[in-house]
Amino acid sequence: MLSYLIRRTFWMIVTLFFIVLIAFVINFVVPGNPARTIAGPKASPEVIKAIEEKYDLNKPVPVQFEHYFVNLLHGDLGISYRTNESVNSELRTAFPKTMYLGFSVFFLNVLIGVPTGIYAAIKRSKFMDHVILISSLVGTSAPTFWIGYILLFVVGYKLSLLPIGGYGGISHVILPAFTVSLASAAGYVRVVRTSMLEVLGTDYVRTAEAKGLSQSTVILKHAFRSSVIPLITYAGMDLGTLMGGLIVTEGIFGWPGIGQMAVTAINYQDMPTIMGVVLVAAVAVVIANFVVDIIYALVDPRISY
Amino acid sequence: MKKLGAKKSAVAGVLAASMLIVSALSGCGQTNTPQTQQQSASSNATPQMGGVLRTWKQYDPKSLDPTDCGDTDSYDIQQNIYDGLVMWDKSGKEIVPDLAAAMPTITNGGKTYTFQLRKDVTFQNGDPFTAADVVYSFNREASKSIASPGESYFSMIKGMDDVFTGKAKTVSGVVEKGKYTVEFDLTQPTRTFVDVLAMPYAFIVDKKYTSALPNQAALSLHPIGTGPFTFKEWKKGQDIELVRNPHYYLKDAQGRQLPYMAGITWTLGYGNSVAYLKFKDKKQDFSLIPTSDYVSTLNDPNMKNDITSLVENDYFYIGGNIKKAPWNKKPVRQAMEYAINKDALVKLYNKRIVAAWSILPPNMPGYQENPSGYKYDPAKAKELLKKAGYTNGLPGVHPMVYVKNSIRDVLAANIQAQLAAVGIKITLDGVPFPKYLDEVTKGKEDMVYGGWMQDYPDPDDFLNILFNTNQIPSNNNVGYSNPTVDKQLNQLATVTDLQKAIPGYQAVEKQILDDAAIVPLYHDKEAYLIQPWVHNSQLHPVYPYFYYWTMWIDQKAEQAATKG
Amino acid sequence: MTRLNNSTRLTTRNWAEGNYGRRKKSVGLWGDAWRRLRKNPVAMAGLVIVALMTLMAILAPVISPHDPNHQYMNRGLTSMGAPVGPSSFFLLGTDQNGRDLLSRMIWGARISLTLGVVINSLNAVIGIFLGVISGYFGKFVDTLVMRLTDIVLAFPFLLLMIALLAVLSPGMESIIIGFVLVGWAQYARLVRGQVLSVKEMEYVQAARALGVSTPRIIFQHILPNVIAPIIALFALGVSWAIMGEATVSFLGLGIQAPTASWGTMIETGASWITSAPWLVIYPGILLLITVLGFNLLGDGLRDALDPHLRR
Repeated sequence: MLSYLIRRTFWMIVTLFFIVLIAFVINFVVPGNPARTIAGPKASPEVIKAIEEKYDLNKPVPVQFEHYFVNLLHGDLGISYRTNESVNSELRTAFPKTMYLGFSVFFLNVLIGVPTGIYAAIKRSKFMDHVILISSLVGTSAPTFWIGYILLFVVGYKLSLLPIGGYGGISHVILPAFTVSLASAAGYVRVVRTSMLEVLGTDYVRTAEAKGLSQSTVILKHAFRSSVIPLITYAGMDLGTLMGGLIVTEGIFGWPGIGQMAVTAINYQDMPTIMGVVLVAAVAVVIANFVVDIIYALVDPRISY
Repeated sequence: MKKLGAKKSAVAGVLAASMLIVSALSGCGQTNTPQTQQQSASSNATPQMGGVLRTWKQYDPKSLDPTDCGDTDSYDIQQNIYDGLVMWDKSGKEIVPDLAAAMPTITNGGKTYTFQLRKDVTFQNGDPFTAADVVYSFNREASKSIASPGESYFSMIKGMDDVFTGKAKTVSGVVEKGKYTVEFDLTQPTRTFVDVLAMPYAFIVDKKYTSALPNQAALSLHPIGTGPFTFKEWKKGQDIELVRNPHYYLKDAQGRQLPYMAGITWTLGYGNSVAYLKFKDKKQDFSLIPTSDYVSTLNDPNMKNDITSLVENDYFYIGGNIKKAPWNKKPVRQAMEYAINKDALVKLYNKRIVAAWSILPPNMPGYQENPSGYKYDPAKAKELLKKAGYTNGLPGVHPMVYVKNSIRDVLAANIQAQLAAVGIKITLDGVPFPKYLDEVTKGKEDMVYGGWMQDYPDPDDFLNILFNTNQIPSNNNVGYSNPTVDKQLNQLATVTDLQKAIPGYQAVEKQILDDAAIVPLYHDKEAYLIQPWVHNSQLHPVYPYFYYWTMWIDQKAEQAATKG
Repeated sequence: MTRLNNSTRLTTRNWAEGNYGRRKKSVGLWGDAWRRLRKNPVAMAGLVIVALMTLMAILAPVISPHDPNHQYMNRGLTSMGAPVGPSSFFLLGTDQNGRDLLSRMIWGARISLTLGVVINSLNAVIGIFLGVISGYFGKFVDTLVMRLTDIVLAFPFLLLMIALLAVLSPGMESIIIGFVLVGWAQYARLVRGQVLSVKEMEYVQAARALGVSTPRIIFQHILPNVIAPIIALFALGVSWAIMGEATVSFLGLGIQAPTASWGTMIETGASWITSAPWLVIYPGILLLITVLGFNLLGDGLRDALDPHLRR
């Protein structure tokens, strides 16, 4: 187990390094001259030169990468082309807000996914099971941005039930969280349903039932407990997809998280910020996957490494 | 670079790629003589004090540091925090003293400008304003470490570029001649110097406060100036709050202390459609009008009076790269002049633009409606192509590069169809702004669909920068070169009285169009919504959006409206 | 966004295995799979949708009522230049350029499906190649390929696409490049897993022992066994690519005008949502149905082709 842990950690670090490298390469192939973009067409050659110096753009690429990497090791993501501020400080404000929305989505997913999954498992192959299957697939197949606008327009504006976009407490978080959740809860339903079915078929649950325990006790005590781990691992693996949903949704609802940061940065071609967001999100996914793998290894003795 | 940025982005599309930057000069204003339609009652009533203007921006501004004010969003906020030596008056037609006590005295054959400063001005933190602050601010703008993108606007000031390139420590051409006297020495007489002084890069910062900051980037987050509103807070992605500066030096005609409003709050981060819904919900005092709602808003009896609009001093054009075949043939270029039905474009843009037959926009001094007498005439276009030797239309398919966004895609598709009808086949190459700049500022493009927005209302800002040979390829993207035109443009730039220069500029403009350097397409006509309880809210032709310091809010009307 | 990534990894064998009943006797993988599929009404619905969409894409020039790029400047726009609503001439109304929306939707199916198929074919080829060598040869090659896969899968897909498309210029090629750079990893991972399990089977071991050449083992014994799950992944992958294209187009990084693509149609139509909602609603519904069709089919196929279920 220890050697697995060490190996896994080593590879996580290698993965992170390559992510940085890829992000840097993308940044480097930016067409044109970032200094020109910052300064505008009218700027004199001197202005362009000064800006190149300021952002380290006049150095050879390997040197630029070394600088970027060394800075990164110190936790410094560089300076935004657009705002002149450190990308770190902007991320520090934005990231917790994305976490807030992300956890709200997770909460909603669990809230929707667990009972629905259990219900579908109990009603296995019956009418309701199929209804749940189909509606969850429809949810997954609906474009997030499309749903976002429609919810915003109908619930926020036409019905005035909830605030029309913006950052804030529970009332503000409901619509964006639901928009993302509509697509991602389906996965939770499936995981819960599947693991429930597996457990419901096992002997000890049958025994428990035979002992006369009520169905709800059996489900809660035995079956559901065993679906917690798959649920967590699924949530960990789903993180990458969740990030995608958050980006689009934050942009629509004006949620000041890293997704909105990314959308703004794209509009201004602010590469340090785009890279910063990509890195933070990628690191979050890598770490989540790492944790998932470790949990998996810990709880499932059948897996040998 | 003049970004048509945030203002239009919202007009054009719901989210995203709409940061429709037009290639352009780097300031942030836009100018026009107002052709303003405004709700009737506003100007007559007596202004009330108090009330907060709840306005909106899709994106955070770039910076609140004047040396980094390159976009409309930053300018919009900064104009309330800082003052310059001079400013545009409310009509946007004339430059008037701001921190200067009077307009400068010009001596030495137009090369020396001497300003007497106001003695009654303090910064928002209580520091007194003196000549030292002016000298400091210009040195800061010239500083190499700050690397302001606007530095080259001030190249005519002696020593400005030397400081920027590290050849000198201080700007020799900005001299403190006394506690309240500043002298500017120029390398050559330049008519547009006062225009440049009204730009945001020339806003004055507090020497004592700013020089003591731990790093210069901190000014953007904690700005202090002499302007009508004091910075309070900037929550990134959420909002920016300014509050009234009670010590602002300006008073209205009745002697009341300006500004009237208690503060301005910009909420940030959501798109145009959402802003529009919030406006309709009366949660917001200002909004752009989404494409989808423009027509219905114009017809809505409740909302049509909330619209305020203005034709901007910009222009959009298409052109072939004259350095390349077949665009080096004049008849081919002239054929394009006749090939485009501009009214079709106006219709597709829901009449939010006006057709252009000239380079200078209608509100620019020197405007002529159609100097070369072109008109839409596809038969003539075909005839001209024949004359150039292309009986069956132009050979090849020509990619047309432009900054992508949803409305430009609509217009470009129509241009494509119109050109195809006369035998010119093009493909559309909508790209992000940096890619666009990379192509056109190096003269690599085959065809371009671009735009230009003024920094200040002077024909020099359009004609000289876009068509002088010495601007190839950085701004003269189509590679137009005519020695006669160059000579005239260089001479006209030194004429100190604009009125005297105008006939010359008109002749130049006609010559450029006779040569068919580009095909003018349209000028933007911006339209915004403002709640009826906000008064004095005409769009300003130079400053972004409004002349905030004379706006006022009828708080009773606001309460009555928002309660229901 | 469709979760191509995860559905294959953890969400087990099937949803409604109760449907299939228990086969007593195997009639070969394909026949068996087809029977399972036919018994699964949900998957059949997916198949029908996919077939209809494909037909629509192929027959676009025949069935499309108008030229998708013809701009009806008078008939197709109001005097203020707004799109006109559905009528007998324009069955689903016009778009902001005065073009027939239905015709553009029909032609858009070509773009979406072509992109989906091209992207996934490339992904499958790359993925199968890397997956097979990784799984078959193991050791260093395996580690290398799988780490690369991990790295690619660790990137949040949409963010990577954004970063890529922000630097490439928008257009069909860029979208294909971007989606292939990320998409192959799923195939590689799936194929590797399959190869690993097939490799250990007796007949492969036997072939090896008999000295059958490696390429032959791969082509004769391993690949045929790997094809089944790939087909399922392919269907899911098409839905992923179609939805992905729509999403990047929505972010303004999509296909060049005036080409009709559902993604760009929704993106440009989004600015008309309140007054010409058909511009967003119809292409949105078509997109939803298509993605749903491929998802249903993909899920059904995965279940039908799952060898674990063949008893």
